[in-house]
Amino acid sequence: MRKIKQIKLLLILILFSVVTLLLTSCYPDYGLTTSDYDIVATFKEDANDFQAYKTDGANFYMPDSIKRILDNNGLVSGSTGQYDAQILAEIERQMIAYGYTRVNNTQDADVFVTVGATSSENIVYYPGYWYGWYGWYYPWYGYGGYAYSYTTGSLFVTMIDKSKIDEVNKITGAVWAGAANGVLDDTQANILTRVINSIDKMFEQSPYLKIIE
Amino acid sequence: MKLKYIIAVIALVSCTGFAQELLTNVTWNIGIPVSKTNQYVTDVTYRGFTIAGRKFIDNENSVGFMTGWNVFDEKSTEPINVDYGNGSGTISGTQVRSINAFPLLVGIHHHYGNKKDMRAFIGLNAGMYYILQRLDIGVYRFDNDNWHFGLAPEAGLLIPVGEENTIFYIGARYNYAFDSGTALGGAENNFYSYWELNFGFAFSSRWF
Repeated sequence: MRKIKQIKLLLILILFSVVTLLLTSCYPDYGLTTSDYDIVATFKEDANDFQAYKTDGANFYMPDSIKRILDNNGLVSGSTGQYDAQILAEIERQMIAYGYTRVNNTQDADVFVTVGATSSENIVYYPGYWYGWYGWYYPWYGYGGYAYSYTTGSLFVTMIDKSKIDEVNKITGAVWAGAANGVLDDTQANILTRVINSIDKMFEQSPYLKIIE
Repeated sequence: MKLKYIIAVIALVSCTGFAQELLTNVTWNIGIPVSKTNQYVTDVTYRGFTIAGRKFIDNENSVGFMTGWNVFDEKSTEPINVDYGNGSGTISGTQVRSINAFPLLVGIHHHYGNKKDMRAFIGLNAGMYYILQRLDIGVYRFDNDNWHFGLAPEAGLLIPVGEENTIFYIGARYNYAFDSGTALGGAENNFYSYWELNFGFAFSSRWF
């Protein structure tokens, strides 16, 4: 009888060990790298016929600078970024590859392409057990909290159809928008590569923009 | 509303306390997402367990209670398509998708076969599921958790091990958690369904 109880106990222990082992890895480390935190989103106005630019005109005007939007008040700063030239060059390259022609003045343009950027510092603070139920009474039971910060950057590319701008009714005429977001805590070389890849991704996942075969 | 369900579950389990025979089981689960759940997480999960108890009301039939935890998750790079008003969009990036399902069910079971031999059983469980669906994309996290009414029909085998009241338990259970709350991403029907294969041990207060 005693032996049977021991076997039963052993079986329970084995099963609980297996279950515990499996559950401690509930959220496995997927080996994510910084670039895995990059996301690219694109949006379009469904009613807009992008193929119409083939006949109606496919000239685009893009300013030579990137507007930097201040995180705390939404105003635009006059500062420039280290890679602004490369970013604008890549957007131009993609637009030309899709059949558009860059022009240097707004009068000749059919669409405007505006580029904006913003960055923000995110602080994560986990107080640990100190602020828990017993924190005030048995502080020696507490286990440490932690804090860290990371900076994210976002790039916004917007295509505006000049013919759809309606200043009276405050309609911007935006027909397409691309946004890229990622962590900026990386080497400078990697940041540039990731931003360029994100711009390429914006166009890759927007094939409807393409107006040449 | 939730409290009402919890009280009902506790009351039902308490009523069974007068029965003489008790079968408790602990199983490790393999979970297989199906239907709409499979569109969110396709991977089979090996992380899950069930703890259950059955009280026999006669030689063949029992009432019982079960709870547990199944975790479905996977890394995905499948683009997310979104529709809104007069526009639409695509969001791409590495995602970690997960579903945590916690059933809290009562059930009835019918058993076939001799008590001392291998027995088969079929059963139907009903109750509540707490389901947390999570999407991590970029540095952003989106959670959606709801309580769902659900049903879980099941079948299995109870195989005696050795000469005492220790039993090897093998079973299959289909879980269906009905539409509740708003789905992550705004899809119309927020139901979940998955299969479980259960392997474990049951312990009886008496011989079958």
